Amino acid sequence: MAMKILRVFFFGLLLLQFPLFQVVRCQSEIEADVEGSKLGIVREDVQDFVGSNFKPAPGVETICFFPRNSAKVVPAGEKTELLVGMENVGESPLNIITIEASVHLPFDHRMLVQNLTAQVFDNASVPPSTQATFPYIFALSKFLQPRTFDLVGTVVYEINQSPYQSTFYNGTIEVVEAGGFVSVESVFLVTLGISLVVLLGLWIHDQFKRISQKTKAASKVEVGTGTTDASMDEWLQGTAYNQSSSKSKKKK
Amino acid sequence: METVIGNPLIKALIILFLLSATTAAGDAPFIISHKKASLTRLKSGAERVSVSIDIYNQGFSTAYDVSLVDDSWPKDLFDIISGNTSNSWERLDAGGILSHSFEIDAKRQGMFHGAPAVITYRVPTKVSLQEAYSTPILPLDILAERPTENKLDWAKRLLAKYGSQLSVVSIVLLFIYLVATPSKASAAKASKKKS
Repeated sequence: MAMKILRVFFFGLLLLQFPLFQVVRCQSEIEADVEGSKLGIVREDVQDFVGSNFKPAPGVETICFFPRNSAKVVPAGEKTELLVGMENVGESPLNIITIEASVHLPFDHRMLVQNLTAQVFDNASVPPSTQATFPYIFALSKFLQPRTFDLVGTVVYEINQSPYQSTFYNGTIEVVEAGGFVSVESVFLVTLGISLVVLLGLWIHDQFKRISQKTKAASKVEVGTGTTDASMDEWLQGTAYNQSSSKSKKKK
Repeated sequence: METVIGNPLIKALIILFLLSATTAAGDAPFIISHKKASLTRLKSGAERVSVSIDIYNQGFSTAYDVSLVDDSWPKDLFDIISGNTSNSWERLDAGGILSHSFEIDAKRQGMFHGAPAVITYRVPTKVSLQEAYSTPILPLDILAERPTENKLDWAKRLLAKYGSQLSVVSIVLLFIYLVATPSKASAAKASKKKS
């Protein structure tokens, strides 16, 4: 009878839980929303240039610089800015079309981790014999593992209506977890650590107490009046106690 | 006789080639400049623009007589409050950084597209003044109408930002309090036993 009630009870519980059940959904796509801001109006023919491969022009030098971030630390999920310096050593002005970048695994460049949004420029030009700087803001997916990745950044530009492309950065970046000092995990760990230390302290304290009690027992034992020899006391002479002890002696 | 003449000539040619090779390798300063502009709405209703310009030298040699000029803020649209739109320094060594900032007040409402600031400097190897441009700034929406934020939205935003951390800290403190303080039932029992 009891088993039957128990079974009914469990079935009822399961049925009750049905509306509360929620299937755990995991995000299969690693490429979450990526930031990239546009400076100016987009050109109509920009799609021809994005994703294509051109050769670098001979009179152009590029340099990549992470402002106030010499260690190239990129927090995952947050905006990071890098500056692209272009030097036009040639004779004619060059027009920047787009700056794009992609993240790869460091040991195998064919393994693409994330394609970053291309930043399109309209009316961004570098006159001859001048240097110019262009910003590129990007954000990596916040689900990226914190480790070193390879970042490849290219800038597509045109000189006299001919497109060219230069790689301004092909090196490692350090991806770290974005997050403050106070997070769920850190608070839990800190409290756990403190509690373990306190527990250890209490246990050591207990051990000390036990050891000190044992030594006290060996040296000071309260025994009362049992060991004192009553027959040695003078004031008991001639009393009942003395007579009874003498009687017991006689009996022996 | 021919080898004696030939050898010093070849040596001179080699030295000249090496010299040209070193200059072609880029032994010059590379100026990278970062211009940032941020808007702040003052209590008086005016819009204050804080402009900061950082100049880095990522080249291999020193740039001399570095001069920064930012003429992209027309006088009829902006009033200079503090600082100057131009500045100059004696030198910028390779790997060094220079900073300059100023504040201006915007007078007219509308979108403003700023031009890059111009940096000029000298190098020992060249006679002419070298030029470099800073980064352009994003279009600024001057005196834009901002919708007043609902109190509820503000509370929701704060909760979303700090909710998880606050809840963790409060749970931990509650647990410590529960463990440290004896419960009222046991205290009553203890007092009963004594009496």
